[in-house]
Amino acid sequence: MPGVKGYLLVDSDGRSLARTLPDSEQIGSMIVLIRLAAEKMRTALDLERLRHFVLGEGETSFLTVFPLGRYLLAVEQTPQPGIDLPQAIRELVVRFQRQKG
Amino acid sequence: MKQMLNELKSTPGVLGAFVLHPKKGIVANCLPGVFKPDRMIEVSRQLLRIYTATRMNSQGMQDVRLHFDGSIVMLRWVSEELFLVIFCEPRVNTSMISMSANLVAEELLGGVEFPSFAEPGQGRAVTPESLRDSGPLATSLQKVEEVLAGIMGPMAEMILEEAIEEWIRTSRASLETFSSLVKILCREIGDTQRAKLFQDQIRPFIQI
Repeated sequence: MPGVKGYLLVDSDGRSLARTLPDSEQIGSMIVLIRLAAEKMRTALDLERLRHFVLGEGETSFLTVFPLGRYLLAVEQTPQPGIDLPQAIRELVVRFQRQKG
Repeated sequence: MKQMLNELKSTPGVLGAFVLHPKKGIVANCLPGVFKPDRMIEVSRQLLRIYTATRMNSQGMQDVRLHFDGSIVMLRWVSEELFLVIFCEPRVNTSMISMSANLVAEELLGGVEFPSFAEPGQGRAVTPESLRDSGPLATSLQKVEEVLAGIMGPMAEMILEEAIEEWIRTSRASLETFSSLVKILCREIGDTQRAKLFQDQIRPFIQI
């Protein structure tokens, strides 16, 4: 996908299952902790599902993280004008799930 | 600070915002009434955990956006001791919000003060800060804040600031109308027993 620099798939313990990103242990632990905190916020605010979260380092690099059941998929990207990467990745995951199902 | 937040709130898609200090809690906000103070304490705790988790990994991390069904919560670092939290609608233009957040962050960092307009006959505009910092009400308000902090915890400062704003709007803030402020605060405390405890504890310092 345009703008994607790398990915990391971790389980609910933050253990890496597949990756092209470096520092997978650290990033895995971080995104699991963030997801836990976000879920507590969701409960406190009576919000619905957490769709994804984005960690930004200025305007040049983003790590977008998608909860997929008990897994987390982190995708590092550089911003691409006109491309809704979260939506594109969600569609990709749905297509993959349908193929597997 | 509140004025900056109100301007941020006027950005299309922004539902509300607050400024978070790790030790003092929420120091300013423009949140709608649906965001209850007790829930905001939990939200603030979790946001600080997110900040700590990200900073342990990357010193360059500047913001986090949590996309829920129904809303987006954005956490923006202003400095080590100040964070900007923005609640937005899900379809918001995130680039524009990010830009607005940057502007507010710069203003907060630079300590930019918007000019205030004094009412006719007054040397300067009456604000919660000016009443608490000096003048005949300062000591009483500081005592009230101490007692309120013991009852309401880290939300005390925010609750008091909003109550004083309402007091200034609805009554002429003075020792004679102090009971109006106490009534506003009792309403904000909500719980009857805790409100009574609050009144009992401030009675030695304030005539109500």
